[in-house]
Amino acid sequence: MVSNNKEILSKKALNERLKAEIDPTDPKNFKGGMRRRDTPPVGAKPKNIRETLFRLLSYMGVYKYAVLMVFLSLIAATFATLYIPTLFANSIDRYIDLDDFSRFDPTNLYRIVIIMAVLAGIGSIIRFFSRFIMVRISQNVVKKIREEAYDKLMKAPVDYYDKQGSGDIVSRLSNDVELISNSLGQTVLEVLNSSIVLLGAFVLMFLLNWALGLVVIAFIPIMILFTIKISKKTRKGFKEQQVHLASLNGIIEESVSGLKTVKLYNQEKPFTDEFEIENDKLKKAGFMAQFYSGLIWPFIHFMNNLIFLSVIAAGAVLYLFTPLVTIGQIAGVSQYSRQFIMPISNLAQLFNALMQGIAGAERVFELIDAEDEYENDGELAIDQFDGDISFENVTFGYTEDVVVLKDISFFAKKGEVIAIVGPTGGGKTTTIKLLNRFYDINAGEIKIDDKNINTLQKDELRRRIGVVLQDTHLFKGTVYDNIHYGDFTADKEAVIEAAKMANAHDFIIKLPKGYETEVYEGGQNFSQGERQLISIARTILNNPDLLILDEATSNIDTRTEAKIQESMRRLMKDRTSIVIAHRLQTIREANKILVIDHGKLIESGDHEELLNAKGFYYGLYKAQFEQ
Amino acid sequence: MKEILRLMRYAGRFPGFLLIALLTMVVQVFASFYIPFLMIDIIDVYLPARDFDNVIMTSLIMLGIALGGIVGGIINTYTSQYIAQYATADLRLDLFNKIQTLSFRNVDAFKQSRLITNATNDVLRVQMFFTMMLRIVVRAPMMIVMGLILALQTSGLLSQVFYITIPMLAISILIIMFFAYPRFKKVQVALDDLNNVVLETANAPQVIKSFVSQDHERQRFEATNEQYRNVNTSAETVMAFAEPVIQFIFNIGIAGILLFAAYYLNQGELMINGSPRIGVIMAFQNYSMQILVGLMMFAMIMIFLSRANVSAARINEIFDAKIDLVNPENGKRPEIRGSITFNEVAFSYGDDGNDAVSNLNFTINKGEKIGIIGSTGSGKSTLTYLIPRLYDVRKGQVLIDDTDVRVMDINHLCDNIGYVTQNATIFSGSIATNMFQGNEDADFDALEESSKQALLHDFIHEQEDHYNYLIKSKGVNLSGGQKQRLSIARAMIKKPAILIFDDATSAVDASSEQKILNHINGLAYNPTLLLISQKVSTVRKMNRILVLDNEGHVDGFGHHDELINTSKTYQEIAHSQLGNGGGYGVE
Repeated sequence: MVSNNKEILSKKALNERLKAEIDPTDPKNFKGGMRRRDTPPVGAKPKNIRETLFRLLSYMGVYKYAVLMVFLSLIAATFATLYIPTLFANSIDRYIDLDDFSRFDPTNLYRIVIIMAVLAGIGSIIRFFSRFIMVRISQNVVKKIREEAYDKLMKAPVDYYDKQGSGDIVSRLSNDVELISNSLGQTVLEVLNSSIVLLGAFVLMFLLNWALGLVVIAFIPIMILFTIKISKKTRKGFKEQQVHLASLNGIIEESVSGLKTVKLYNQEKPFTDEFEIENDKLKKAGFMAQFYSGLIWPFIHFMNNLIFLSVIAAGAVLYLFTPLVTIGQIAGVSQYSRQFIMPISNLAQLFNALMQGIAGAERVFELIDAEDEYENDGELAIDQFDGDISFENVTFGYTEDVVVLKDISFFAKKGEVIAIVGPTGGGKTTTIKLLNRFYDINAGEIKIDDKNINTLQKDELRRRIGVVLQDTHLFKGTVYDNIHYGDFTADKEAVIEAAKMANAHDFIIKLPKGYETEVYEGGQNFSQGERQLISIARTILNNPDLLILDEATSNIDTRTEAKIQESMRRLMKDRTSIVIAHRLQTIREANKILVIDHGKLIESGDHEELLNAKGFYYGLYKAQFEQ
Repeated sequence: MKEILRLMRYAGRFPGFLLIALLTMVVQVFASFYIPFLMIDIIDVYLPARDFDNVIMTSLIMLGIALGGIVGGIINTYTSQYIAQYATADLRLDLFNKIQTLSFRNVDAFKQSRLITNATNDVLRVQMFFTMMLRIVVRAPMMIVMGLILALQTSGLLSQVFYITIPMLAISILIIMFFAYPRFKKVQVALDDLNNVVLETANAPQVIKSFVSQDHERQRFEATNEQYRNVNTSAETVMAFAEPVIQFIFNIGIAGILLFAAYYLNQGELMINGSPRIGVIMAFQNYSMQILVGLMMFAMIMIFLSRANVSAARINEIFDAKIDLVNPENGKRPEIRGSITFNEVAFSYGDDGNDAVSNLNFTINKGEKIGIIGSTGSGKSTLTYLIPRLYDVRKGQVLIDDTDVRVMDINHLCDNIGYVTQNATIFSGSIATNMFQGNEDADFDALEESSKQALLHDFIHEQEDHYNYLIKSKGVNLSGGQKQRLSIARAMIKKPAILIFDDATSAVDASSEQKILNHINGLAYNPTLLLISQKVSTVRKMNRILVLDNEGHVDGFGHHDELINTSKTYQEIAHSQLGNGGGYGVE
C-alpha cells in the first residue's frame, strides 16, 4: 500500500494545518477569492518560430510557381496603382501653368484621367486575380494539413487520446488549423502587399522628389520604436487577460454543468461571488490590455497628420526659398505619405496575427508528429484464431512509475468464458485493454494460440477480437449505419440478421424510421441499454474470433437488461470470451473466475471452488448477492 | 441589428464616458480633416504671395490641431475601452446571475452546452463589437459627414465626385455582403460538421481501433474536410473582391477629381486671383482618401455586426426567458423532520401532456430507508427532483412534514436535503471546499466524521495535502468511485433530515456500498433515505422499496419479500439480476 510509508499526521496536527491553510471559520475560504482553482494553461506563444514557419511554408512548396506569380502580380498591381499620385503630380506641374493659365488645355488632363482609370482598373484586376489564387492555395494547404493531422490521429495510440483529451484534439484540428488558415490566406498576402506598398511608395516618393522624401523618412524610426514598445506592453496585457478569461470560463462551465448540485447545495452565492471577483479582475486586465493596444490608433492618426503637415510645411518653405520642389510634387508626396502609414500599422498588426498562426501551426504539428502506434507493429499475418489465450506474468502501468497490473497469469482454452471480478479500480478494465494491444505491457507475455501478440499485425489482431464496452459509443448516422460498422462488406440482410441475433431488431423496427432512424452525436437519443444492443449487433456482424465484454453495472432497464444478457450469451457461444462480470448469472456460468484486486490476481477458479475457498470472492459474493 | 442595440444599454450605464468618447472622436476626426483644409490656403494663397510668415503660422496651427487630435485620441481610447470592458463585465455578470436563477425546465430548453457558449463566446463577440463600435462605427459616419461638410465648404463643384464614388462604394459593399453572408453561414455549418467528426473520433478511439475502421473514418473526414474547403474557398473568393473593388473606386475618385478639376478650370471656375486652386484639388484628394477609408472600415464592421447580432440575439433570449420556478416571498422555514408525502402527483417535462410520472400517492415516514427501483425512463430520478423543487409538479402536491414544498423557502428546503446526483458533480477547489458546500460552518471533526461515513477518509489521508488535495476542473483527478464518495460526504456533512442518493454508489464496489449504507443506518439523527438503484441486491436492504413501472406509475411499494410476489415489474428485475436458482423464490 502506498500509504504505509507515508507519515500520517496526528489529528491535532492535521487540524492545525487545516486551520492554517483553509480555516473553515474564515468565510473567504469558500466565498470565492481564496478558492484554489485549477486554471488551464494559456498563452499562445510559439516556441520555435523559424522552424515552424519554414515547415508551414514547405507545404506551399508544391505551389511555388503559383506563389511566385501571386508575388509578381502583386508587385505589378501595386506599382500600377501607386503610380497614380505621380501622374497626378506631373499633370499639375506640366499642364496647369500657374503663371500663365490662359494656355490651359483640358484635353491633356482628360488623357491623364483615362490613363489613371486604366491603371486603376488593371491594378484592381491583377489584385483580385492574385487573391483568387492565394485563397485556393491556402485552402488547399490547410486541407492538406488537416488531413495529415487526422491521419495521425488514426494512427495514434489510445494512450495519446487519454493524455490529450477530446477537447484538446478537436481544438487542434479546428481552432489551430483555422489560425493557420488565417495566417496563410490573409496575413501572408497582407504582409507581402504592405511590404510592396511600403517599398513602392518609398521609391516613387523619392523619384518624385528626394527632398520631401527625406522629410517623410525622418518619421519612420519614431513609428517603428513606438509600435514595438506598444506591442511589448500589449502582449503582456493580453496574456494576463487570457489567464483571467480562462479561469472565468472555468467558473461558468463548472457552475452551468453542475447546476443541479449548485442549486441543491445553495452554492449560487459562492459561485456568484467568485464570478464577480474574477469578472472584476478580467475587466481590469482587459481594460489595460485593450487601452494599450488601442493607443496605436490615435498614434497612427497623429503620425498621419504630422507627416502630412510636415510635407506641406517643408514643401512650402522649400518652394519659397529653393528651386527643389514644385507644387505638383508637394501634392504627390503628400499623397504618398498617407499611403505610407497604412502598411506600417498593418505590418504591426499582422505580426500578431502571424505569431498566432505560427503558434497554431506548432500545436497542429505536435499532433502530426505524435507517436504512431504502427511503428512497433508486428509482422505476422493471421487468418483466424482458434482462441487459446494466455497471460504469462503480465505487468503493466499506464505510466512507467505506477504499476497497475502485477504479474498476472491465466489461461483460457478455446471457447471458454472467463469472468473477471473485483472491486472498482482494481485493474479489471485494464486487463482487457491489453489483449488487443491498446496498451503495451511492461513485462511478461500475452499469447493467442501460442503466438505472442506483439508479433502479430495490430489491425489483424484487433479485427479478430470483438469488444463490447459498458458505455457504448454510437456514431452519428443511422441505426443501420451503426450496425453496418461491424462489417462494411455486409449486405442489408446480414445487418438485419445481426440485429435479430442481438435482440435489437424488435425495438429498432418500432422506431419512427426503423433502421433509418438518425443517431445523434454520441447516441444520446437512445438509452444506454439500446445503445448496448446496437453495439452487440455491430459486434455480431463483425463476427470476431475472441470476445471482450464489459457488463453494464447500472442504468439499464430490466427488460432490455434481460435481452442484453440473452444476446451476449449468443455472442459468446463458441468464442473464447473475457467478461468483466457484474451479474451473478454470468459469473456462475463462467468456466473460470478471476478475482483481481489492487492489480493482482488474488483468486481464480469456478464459482463453487471459489465459494468453498472462503476467500475474497466469498466475501464479495456475500456482500453483493446475499442479505 | 435590433438585438445588439438592446445590449447597448450596458454601454449606456457610462453616460459621462460615452459623451467624452463621442466628443473626443469628433476632435480626432476634425483634426484629420481640418489639416488639409488649412493646407489649401498655404498652397493657393500664401505660396503665390510668397508669404513666409503665414506659411509658418498656418503650419503651427496645423501642428496644434494634430496634437489636439492625439490628445483627443488617447482620451477616446481610454473612455471607449473602459466602456467596452466594464459594460461587458456587467453584461456577463447579469447573464451569469440570470443563468443561475433559471429553472431546470428553462435549462433543459436551452441545453447546458449552449448556456456555456452564450456566457463565454457570445459575450466575447458582443464585447468585440462594443470595442469596435466606439472606435469605428461612430467614426465612419462622422468621417463621411464631416468630410462632406468640409468638401462642400471647399468646393461644391468638386464635391460632385463624391456623389458618384460614395454610392458606388456603398453598392459594391452591399453586393459583396449579399453574396458573402450566406456563404459564411455555410462555412459555419461545415465547420460544425467537421468538428463533430473529429469529436466523434476523439471520443471513440477504442471503437475505431477495435473494428479497424480507420479507413472508413478517413473517408468520412475527407468528405467533410473537402466540403469545408469548398465552402470556405467560395466565401473567401467573394471576399477577395472587396479590397480590389474598394481600391479601384478610390483611384477612380482621384482620377475623378482631376477630371472635374480640368473640366471646371476650362470653364473658368476654381480660380483665385487668376490662378487655379491647386490646393483645393489636393485637399479633395485627401478628403476622398479619408472618407473612403472610413467607409471601408465601416464595411468590415457591418460584416462583423451580423455575427455579433446573432450572439446578441442568443444572449437576449436568455434574458427574456421566463423563469417558471421562483422562491416564494417570505417562504416558510419550518423545522424539517423528514416525512415525505406525494399527493396525486403528476409531472411532465414538456407541455405535450406526456407525464414522466403520474398518479403518485404515497407517504414516507421520518427516518425510513426507501429503495427506488424501475427501468430507465420510469421516472425514478424525476420523482426525487420534485422534493427539493428542481422541478415543480404539474398536478398534486409534494409535502414535507405536511408542508407543501412550494410554500417553503427553497434555500431552507435544500439545506435540509442531502442530494447526491447521478453523475457525481465535483467542483474544482480542494476536497475541503467541496465538503464545505454541504456545510459552510463545518469544523475539522465534522469533515473527518462525514469523510469516514462516506469511506473517503483513507483516500484523504493517503494524500499529502489531505483535505487540501487540489481537485482539478470536473474532478478529473479523482476516480469515479472517489467522486461518488466525495459527493456522498458532501451530502452527509449537512446532517440533513432527508438524504437522496440517485444511483450514487454505482462506481463504488459492493462491500463499500454496504459499509456506507450501514453508516447511514447508524446515524443518530436518523435521516429519511431515498436510494435509487438498479440493483435489487442494494434496494432489498431498505425498509421498503418503491417500484416504478415504465409509465411512471407506482407498481408496488413494500418489502422485497412482498414485492417479489405482487409487483410484476419487480419480479422481472429480480429475475434478470438474480437469475434462476438464485434462491429467492422466483419460479
